Amino acid sequence: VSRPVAIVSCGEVVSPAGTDENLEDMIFRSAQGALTAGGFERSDIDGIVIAASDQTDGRAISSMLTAGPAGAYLNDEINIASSPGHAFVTAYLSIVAGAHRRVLLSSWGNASETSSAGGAEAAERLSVDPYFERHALSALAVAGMQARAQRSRAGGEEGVRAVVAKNTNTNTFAAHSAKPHLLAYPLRSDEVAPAISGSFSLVLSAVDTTDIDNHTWVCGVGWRSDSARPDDRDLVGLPHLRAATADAIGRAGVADARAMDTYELHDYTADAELLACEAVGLCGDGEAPELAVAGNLAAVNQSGGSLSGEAPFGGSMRKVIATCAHLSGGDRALGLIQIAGGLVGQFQTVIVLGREKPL
Amino acid sequence: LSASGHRVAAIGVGQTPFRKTSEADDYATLLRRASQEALGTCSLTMDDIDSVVLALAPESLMGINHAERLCVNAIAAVGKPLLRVQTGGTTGLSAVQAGYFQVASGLFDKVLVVGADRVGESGDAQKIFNKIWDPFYERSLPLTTISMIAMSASRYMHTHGMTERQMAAVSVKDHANALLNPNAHIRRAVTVDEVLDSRYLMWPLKLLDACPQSAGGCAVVLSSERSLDTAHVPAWISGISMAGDTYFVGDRVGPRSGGFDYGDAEALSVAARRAYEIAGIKDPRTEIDAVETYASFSPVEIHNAEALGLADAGTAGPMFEDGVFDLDGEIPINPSGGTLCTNPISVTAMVRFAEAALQVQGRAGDRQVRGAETVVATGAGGSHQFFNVALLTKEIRG
Repeated sequence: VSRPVAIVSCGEVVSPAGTDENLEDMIFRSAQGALTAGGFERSDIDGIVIAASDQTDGRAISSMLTAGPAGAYLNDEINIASSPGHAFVTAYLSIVAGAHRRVLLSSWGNASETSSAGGAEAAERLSVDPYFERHALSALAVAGMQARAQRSRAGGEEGVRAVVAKNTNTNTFAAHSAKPHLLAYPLRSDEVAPAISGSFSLVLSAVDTTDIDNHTWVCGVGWRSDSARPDDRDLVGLPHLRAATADAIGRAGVADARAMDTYELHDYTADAELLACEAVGLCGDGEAPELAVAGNLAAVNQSGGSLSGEAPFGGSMRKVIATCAHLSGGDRALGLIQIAGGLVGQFQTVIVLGREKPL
Repeated sequence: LSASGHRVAAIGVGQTPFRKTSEADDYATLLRRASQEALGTCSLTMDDIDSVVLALAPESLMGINHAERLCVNAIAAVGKPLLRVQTGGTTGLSAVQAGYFQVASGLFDKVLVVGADRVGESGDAQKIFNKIWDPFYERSLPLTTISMIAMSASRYMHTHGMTERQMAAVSVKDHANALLNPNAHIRRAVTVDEVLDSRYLMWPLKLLDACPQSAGGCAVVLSSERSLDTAHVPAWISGISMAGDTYFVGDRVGPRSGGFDYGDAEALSVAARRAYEIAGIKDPRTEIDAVETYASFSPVEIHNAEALGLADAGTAGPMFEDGVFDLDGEIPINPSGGTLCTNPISVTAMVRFAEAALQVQGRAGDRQVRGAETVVATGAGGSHQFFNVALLTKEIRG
């Protein structure tokens, strides 16, 4: 990959779940925010990439409505519907390919827009095989299976409680109940990401077309998929996350994931963060719970992660924006982002961002 | 030439036969059959594929949210990079564009782009499509995928004098071409009088002016130049672009910049200009040998010909009557029979690309256009709002 690409500006709108603001306005505000932050006009953009989820947005073809406020009118646009991580990868590669010079990338989630009774969680349940699994499985149920396996291996839940305390200590967008209740054994409500609404936009640019000096460089990307069937999968070892990480850090020219200064990982549950720490190579297998208890995972999810509030489907783009902020000050040089999609991360995308221009 | 210097070619094409229903083949089987055929035509296996792009349009048609998750297993893509594209009717060509980015960037050498549709799987596809409209301002008109084109056609008739007989000429041509395409869904000859006598769906559109709902799968294999085998026959992607218009049809009524209005296809002309510029096409009328265009109704093919620069505004109708766009005409349009005869929604636009690639490869069988070296494929979707254009060439251009 030969053409350096940077994230040159960001925009985000974050609201409590059930916000009165409609989806189009939310998307428009984040897209406009990214343009304004970079000093761009819409005419400076020659590519639009969005990640729109039809059932989450409550429409048969969401992008018909949502591409417009994301800046797409008469522009070259594409909707990557499987994951905001995949949308990021597509925006990045379209610039490297020379098809675009500057791309406005947006993803979002507003649970109140979904057409399914029961909200985004109910819409998510419709993604499960209708004949054999839907009557029993949901994203939450599979997350519970994963959490049980993690806690069984760790011999307790001290690591989980440490992650919850760490991620909800600051930057919390949605407060957890003072009296957590059981959601899906063994997961309690404060161990699962609470729903918020939000829209998140980035401007990615080829370096030769921008004179903005506050770059966050895209150093490497990787994405892999796992089986749709939870019983086919290694929910603890997460081999496809390991492969995506190897792809991303290899393309970034980084030998060891422990070289990162900051990590924004998938913490749909606290257990998921612990497992992700091990799969991306931040620590050895089985070591994450002890590190969490000892307070040695401070570099993970400094934004508060998903446990501080996550917009459905598109909300994990916030991890990219958070990493840009981490890298813009201090002495942090490299950041790793994990964006997961599907039931407990069937789709895994890993992005390495850096403050220095990649070789 | 991409900024990173990587050329991209289509080297493999796979299509299942397209039919009204696919009782024998479920959705997963359609994906597999199309993939295997595409891989077979370029002597590759899934082990050779670096990445997969899935074309999957409205999931409401199959009743499974984010059905791409289940498709991973069907395509044998577990462990591979896979992503899904959904841009309505343009999905199939947008998916090709996503695959193009992956190869042109230099990241991958071989990308499989695949999709399928099995419209009969849903109880009533038209009811699903009726819900793509804004529920407050437009759905109650009633705005449907039929009425949106009926309004566009009547507007075009008003501004340019198009006749129903000209529309019928398009239908007669496409149905004649489909007889030469063994994969086409509708394979029967029709006459102008039969088209004119068919029942009205919504004036001026009649049944034989309209596309069917088809079941079937399509796949293409994209390759980098550096990884081409001598046995491969490349159809080079020399230009590819998409443009989206406003969601609200009402925003497109009345004169607009460039003289376009709802009777025309402004976004298609924008996408075409971009693709032509990338490929260095200056005079499409003399440089383009054939076209596979996504026209869900016969009048769409007429204004598409103009938006693609093959005719001046308001002049394409008589040209269809005169046979300019027939299989043996100056610039054959839809030698495969087009969308009027085959419409598997998620991959309708990919079928246009696949057929264009077959033309450039010289593998289009009885529907081969003699001397087809530069062929255009287009997609259309949304509220007649999304359009994409790909230019396939025998020699590298641009």
